[in-house]
Amino acid sequence: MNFSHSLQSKALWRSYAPDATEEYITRRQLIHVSLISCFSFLGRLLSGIGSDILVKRMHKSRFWCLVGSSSVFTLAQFAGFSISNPNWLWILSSVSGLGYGFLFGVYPALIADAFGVSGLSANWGFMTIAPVIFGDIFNLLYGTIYDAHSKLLPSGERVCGDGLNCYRASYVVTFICAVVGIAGALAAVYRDSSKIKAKREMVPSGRTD
Amino acid sequence: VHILSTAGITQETVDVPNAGLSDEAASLLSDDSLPGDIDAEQEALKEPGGVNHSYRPDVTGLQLLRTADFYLLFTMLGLLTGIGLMTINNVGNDVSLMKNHSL
Repeated sequence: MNFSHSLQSKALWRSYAPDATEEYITRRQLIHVSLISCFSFLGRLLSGIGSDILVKRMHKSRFWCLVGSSSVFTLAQFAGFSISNPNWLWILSSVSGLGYGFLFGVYPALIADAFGVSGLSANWGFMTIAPVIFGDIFNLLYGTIYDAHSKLLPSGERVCGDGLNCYRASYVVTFICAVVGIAGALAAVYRDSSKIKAKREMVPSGRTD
Repeated sequence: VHILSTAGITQETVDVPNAGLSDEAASLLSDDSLPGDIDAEQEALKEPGGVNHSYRPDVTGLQLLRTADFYLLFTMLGLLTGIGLMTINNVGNDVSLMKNHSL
């Protein structure tokens, strides 16, 4: 998916700005790939360590990390449909990377909490089907919206010269999805908190943890 | 929690769900033991009463499909990673589009 879009953008570059070198285009794109990687790493560190502190020291639900992640994603989608100056696009990639890392850092722990550790690897493997399905859905959405704003050239190429408007609608959709994500995460916190509370009431009065 | 009145003494008893499942009571970040320092005997004595510990029987395989938690976790993971993947896969495209636009 990434590969095809990269090729597509290179084609665009060539048709719109023939003076731009292949190397320049690739470097522009790689800056964003690096930003996503670095912030994803940072997010994984924060949620991995943070969620254990949250649960062990503060005795809060681990699902608060999910609320954090979906809030970060909401900010990223807002950046996605409002940034029209490419010099500020680093905000979109870094915030997206942070949210993505934050999500993946905490999720295996959520699965372990929910279904136990003895079947964790199978359960987590099962769970990773979800990104495949939903990733495809959202990529197809982006592609459809992009194509709708593109013109078909006689050479067979599809090009879009509308800048932000080429894909703005897809970020509006993902913004709504991210807000739905916050609501879902809060519902999960509520479910989990009532379980923690029920569990706490079962603990003999002498124990404080 | 049941309140039993035996010979005038009020006593609280606690339902301990299957105390044999010690691996579920073991935490990833233990307060009172260091990594590699877990005493099996001590672990066995611990009651599964830690507030945030998993306390239900382990679920795996197709049994997952019968739990509400699975659908919630699966949908949440899909929704959020889907959003993230859309940006990750297409940001390179976004960059070149807007560069073109400003030229």
